[in-house]
Formats: sequence, C-alpha cells, structure tokens
Amino acid sequence: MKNPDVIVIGSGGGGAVIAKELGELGIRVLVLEAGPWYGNKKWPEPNKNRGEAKVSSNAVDLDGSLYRQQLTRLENDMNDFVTGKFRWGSADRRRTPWFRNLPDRAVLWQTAGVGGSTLHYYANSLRAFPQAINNEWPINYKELIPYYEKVEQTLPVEFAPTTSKEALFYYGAEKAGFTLNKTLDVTRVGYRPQPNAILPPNEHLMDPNYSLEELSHMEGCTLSGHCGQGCPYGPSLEKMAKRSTNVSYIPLAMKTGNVTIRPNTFVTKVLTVQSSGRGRRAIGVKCRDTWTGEIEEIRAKVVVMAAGCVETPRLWLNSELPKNQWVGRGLTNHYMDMVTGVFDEKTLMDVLGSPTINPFVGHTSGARLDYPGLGMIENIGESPGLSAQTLFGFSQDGYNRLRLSDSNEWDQRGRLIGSELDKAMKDYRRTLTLSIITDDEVQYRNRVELDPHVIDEHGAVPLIHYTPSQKSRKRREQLTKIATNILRQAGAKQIHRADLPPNYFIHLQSTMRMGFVVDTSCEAYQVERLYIADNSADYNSLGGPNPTLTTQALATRTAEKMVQKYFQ
Amino acid sequence: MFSRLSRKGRVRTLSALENLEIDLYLLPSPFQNNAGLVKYVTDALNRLSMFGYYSEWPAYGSTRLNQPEHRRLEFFPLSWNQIGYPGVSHGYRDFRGFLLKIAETRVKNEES
Ligand SMILES: Cc1cc2nc3c(=O)[nH]c(=O)nc-3n(C[C@H](O)[C@H](O)[C@H](O)COP(=O)(O)OP(=O)(O)OC[C@H]3O[C@@H](n4cnc5c(N)ncnc54)[C@H](O)[C@@H]3O)c2cc1C
Ligand code: SF4
Repeated sequence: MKNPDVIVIGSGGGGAVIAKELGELGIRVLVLEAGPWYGNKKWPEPNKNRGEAKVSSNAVDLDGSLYRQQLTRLENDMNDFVTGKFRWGSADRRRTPWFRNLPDRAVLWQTAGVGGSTLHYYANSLRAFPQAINNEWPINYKELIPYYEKVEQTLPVEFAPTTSKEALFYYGAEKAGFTLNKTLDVTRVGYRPQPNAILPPNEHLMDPNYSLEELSHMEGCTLSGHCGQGCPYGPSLEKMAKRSTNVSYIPLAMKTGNVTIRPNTFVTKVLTVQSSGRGRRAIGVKCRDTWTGEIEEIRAKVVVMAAGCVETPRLWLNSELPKNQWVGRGLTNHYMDMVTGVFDEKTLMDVLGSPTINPFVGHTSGARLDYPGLGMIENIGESPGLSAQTLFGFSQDGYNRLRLSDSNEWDQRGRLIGSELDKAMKDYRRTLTLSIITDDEVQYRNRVELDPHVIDEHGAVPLIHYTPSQKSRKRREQLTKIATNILRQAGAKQIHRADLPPNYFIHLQSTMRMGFVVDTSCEAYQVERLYIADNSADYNSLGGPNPTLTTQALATRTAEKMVQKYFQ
Repeated sequence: MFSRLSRKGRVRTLSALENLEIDLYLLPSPFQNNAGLVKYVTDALNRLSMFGYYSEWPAYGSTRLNQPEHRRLEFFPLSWNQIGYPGVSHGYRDFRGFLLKIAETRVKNEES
C-alpha cells in the first residue's frame, strides 16, 4: 500500500482492533507486524522462508487447514521460549529470540506474529472493575461500556461452559461461602464462569454419532484444552473457536478493503518533525525486514503504536521522542501466584462422579472469583510441560526440600525436584490449580528502559525492572489464602504453593499511562498524530481483571476519536 | 566438579548460586559481578529442564537436537504415558452445561 492514512505498529490484542475499526470508517491502514503470519496462503512455510509476497490484504488468502498444519498443538513446538512458534523472536526459528534484559528470575511471555500475544492467550475477556476506573482513570467506566459491548459482540464473548475443573471450582467456592455473581460489571465479591472469547461448544459435542475429529472441523469449541497452543479448531480460519485477533479482527479488517498487513517487519523508529501544536508531529516510521534486513521509511498521516507494553516504550525511547518521565514507567503485572490441590479418587467420585479432573480438558481457564479490592482468582489447566515449569519449577522461595518450614498452610512450597516432582506430576490428572491475580499497584520505579550496553538489530534492547509494592504483596498473600481455602473446601488432600517470583509477566500493563503519556483519546501529549492502542495506555491494572478486552474497547474508542480529529 | 556432587549437593549449589551466597567476583565472564544474570540463568536451568522433560521434546528422539523445522516425533512421549496425559486431542466430551449465559446478564441490566 502506497501512502496509507494510518500506520499501525503491531497486530496483537490492540493493533488488530484499531486497524479493523479504522478500515470500517474508510481510513486506509497499513499494519506492520514484526512476527510471522500463520494461516495465510502467501506464507505457506512462514518459519522456513520469507515467502514470495510482502503483504496481504485480501481475506481469500486466509486458510484454516494451513493454520491447522502449522499450529501443531504440541507445547514445545508452539511455546518453547527459545524456539517455539509463539516465541518473542523472528519468524526464522534458527535465529535466537529477541533479547530483553531481565536481571532476575523471570519469565516474560509475549508472542511475535499476526495476532500478537492473543495467539496463545486464554481468551478471558473481562471488563475492568468499575471501582478501579471511576475516580482513578481520567475517563469513567460508563464511557467504556458501549465499547466493551461492541467488542464483546464482535469477538464474540460468551461465558465458559462447565467441565470438571470448573465444576470442582464452583463447588469449592460455594463451600467457602461465596455466591454466584451474574454480571459483567463486577462491584462485589463472587464467583462466575469466565467470559471468554471462545465460541460455545457445538451442539453435537456430546453426541457419539459425531467423531471428535469431525467436530473439530465444525463450528464451536471442542473442549480440547489447547488454547495456550493456539486453537486451530473450526470450519475455516475466521471461525476458529478461540478468538485470537488473527482469526477475529484481522479477517474483518481485511474485508473492509482498506487494510493491508505486512508481517516480518520490525519498526525501529517513529519519524517526527517539529510542530507548533504539541511540539512534534508523527509523519511515518522506519522499519526493517526481519528476513532480508532491508530498511525502509514509510510515511502516513497518523501513526499508532500497538507494539505491546515493552516494545512501545522501547520504540518511543529509541526514536528519540520528547522526554517524558513517565515513558516506560508504572509497569504492572498483576503480581501472580499459583496454588495446586491434589484430590483423591473418592472425593472426586462424590463431587464430580468421575475419578479424575483432567485439568487439560476444556477452556484453559473457565472459572473465576472476583474480589474487588484484592484482585481475582481463576482456575487454570495447562498442558503438562507448561504446568510443571510454572507450578513446580519457578519460585521466589527456592527448593521445597531446602525450605525451613514455618507454616502448615501449604504442604509444599516452591520448586520440586526428584521424587517430589515425579509424584506431583503423577498426580497431575487429579489436580486443580488456581491462579492468583493481584490488583497490582502502579509504582514509578517499575519500568521498561533502554539497556545502556546491549544493542540488537533494532536498537538498544529493553531492560526491565519490577518489584511489587507492599500493598500488592499484602493483597497477593490474602488472595493466596482465599484460593487455598477454596481448594481445601473442595476437598483437596494436599496443597502446593508455587510462590512465583515477581518477574512473571503475562499481563503487562500501564507503561505509557493515560493522563501521563497519552491524553484521554490515547494521543501522545508531546507528539501529535501519534496514538497508542495496546496495554501500555492503561492508567492502572484494572483492579485485577485480565487486560485485553479493555485494550480492545479503548482501541475501538480511539479509532473514533482519531477519525473525528484528523479525518473529517 | 558439579557433576561429581551428590544430588543434594547439586541442589545446594544451585540454591547458593541463585541466592547469591557466593563471591560474584570469582565467577567467569559474563557472570562476574552480574547478579541479575546469575539469578536468571540458575532459574532458567530449572524451568527449561522441567518443560523439556514434560513436553513432547524427548519424543523427537534422534531428531531432538535438530533445528525446530527438522524435528519429527518418533514415539509418544514417555513422560506423558507416566502421568496419563493423552497428548494432542481433537476434543473431549466433558460438557456439563452452562452455569450462566451472557443473555442473562443483559436481562438483569434492563430490569435495573
Ligand atoms: C499465557 C498467556 C495467557 C494469557 N491469557 C489472557 C487472557 O485470557 N485474557 C487476557 O485478557 N489476557 C491474557 N493474556 C495477556 C494478553 O496476551 C495481552 O493482554 C494482550 O495480547 C496484549 O495486547 P497488546 O496489543 O498490548 O500486545 P500484543 O498482543 O503482545 O501485541 C503486540 C504486537 O506488536 C508486535 N510488535 C512489537 N514490537 C514491534 C515493532 N517494533 N514493530 C512491529 N511490530 C511489533 C508484536 O510482534 C505483537 O504482535 C495472556 C498472556 C499470556 C502470556
Ligand atoms: S478448548 Fe481452547 S483450543 Fe480447544 S477448541 Fe476450545 S477454544 Fe479451541
């Protein structure tokens, strides 16, 4: 596309949404995406060679069966941090991943590719807690509602179906004294199914006349439990059950006829000129082809940064944009923890009517407890390798064996090794894991900055620091106790606490905060015609709820505001 | 030297490393005086070996050290057999109904 009106940097949770919304409003958009494109006929072997085309703009290029071949649902092939198809790195898996400096025990989980980190996300599509927006953000909750509704209808979102692990969670939550909260707007404590961007199960799922293989080619979730490895189940690419943006918003964007998407293209600089209004004005970008190393400049009337919470501030800093002391600052990550309960067969027979839970069945996360003021708790059932590494391999508490035990609250705590690990994994099918997700307080010291010593092909690399505040620590402790109690009430015989280190990044937010770096339309205070449409524009961590739906609602709103200001 | 230690000795050593109970100056480059990197790497050693063992990786067998595009599954992962994970699945018939549908929340909103 020559001379687009708008360049969008990144096609993940937020970028894909703003591209589609702008396209529908008649704006010509070029999306530049650093990673590969799965499920597009123009790149039949996206990890092996650069393909013949540079861009794709027609939805006929999208191919569900190709997508199924590429998304093998094998956890190492898909999610290995170094070589996985969903890693943070270039399409060419022979190359090392793109480096980020995290000087601590750390996991930072983001994906490069069309769809971004929604490729592997669990599709939990939550509205913020109203109390975390009202009187905190520079806009109020009511203003977001119509945009939440629009995104919920477009993805679309529906409450998760119940499988064994949800049934057991609800049972435990009831016994622990909580009640069902039938709402999307949470103002009180209670449990509910996750509102997920996943198509409801096919009506024939329980009918043995249909084989599961047949069902996996039909519309609707098959409860296969592969959400984290991407979901290639459905009759066509745009009808895949899990609604990552590459199967939801991207096809819709292409259908407007106004949106072109170019994968394998890393933006290294936002180009600006002096302007009388805000000081500087965005006029385009400089980018680099990740296969050939070719460098190019592309001009547009408006530039949108949607590169995610690490790369958006990095790009700002590498572009030598005006100094703003909040750029990259205020990073939150929902300071998470995990507790895992093991159940015996008899208890499970009594509660579920079956001797196992099989946590790998169903939506990876289908049930939750909301606790405004503290955060939330959700059930989670990952595949075995990812479960072992996160639950039993990653801890700020070191090795369970070496621990000087001081409390009986948890039977085990921290890393497991040898026979302990062997036993824990042999119990895998009878476990229920709860994830603790904290209302994480914004701190100026938590940040993404440039590493002064390390430069890669895209400029100085990000250096990341995060230590939770006292308040966040207290909240996490309280939530962990509540989650532990739910497991005990449900009948768990043994409980393990991971005690995750603080630098566990799944929900990154608020590094380019509204009110500090961007105004209420998400346009940069100091650079006109430069917008932000990813998790980094959040003012805070939403009170605990998963971030993506709010980013998508905001991106929808930002498209409207931008068109009103510059294209009418 | 490390490989000659007992299992407990190895765990103690790793633990001492990650808790920085060592003289960082004595470490070779790039670890020398680089506490962050020492912590990152000792932790990653633990995680990556667990992920490797319990994922399909060992089942790439003789191709497991190849470039990712040139690996082939040669058998069903042993660890998955041990723990009863059925592997890649087309789906499961464990649908137990819906506790709540979005439509129900809309009705409530209109009433209130
Ligand atoms: C295991 C896991 C499960 C999750 N589950 C959920 C969930 O259930 N619900 C939820 O709300 N959230 C979930 N998340 C978080 C969710 O993935 C993010 O909130 C969401 O994807 C963020 O959207 P984003 O637009 O900010 O960034 P991303 O989705 O990461 O998109 C950024 C895109 O920009 C591209 N990019 C970056 N830099 C450049 C550059 N310089 N030039 C060109 N392109 C660039 C990247 O390649 C990427 O495609 C989960 C995350 C993980 C890791
Ligand atoms: S459980 Fe997840 S991966 Fe499986 S069909 Fe449903 S949405 Fe897709």
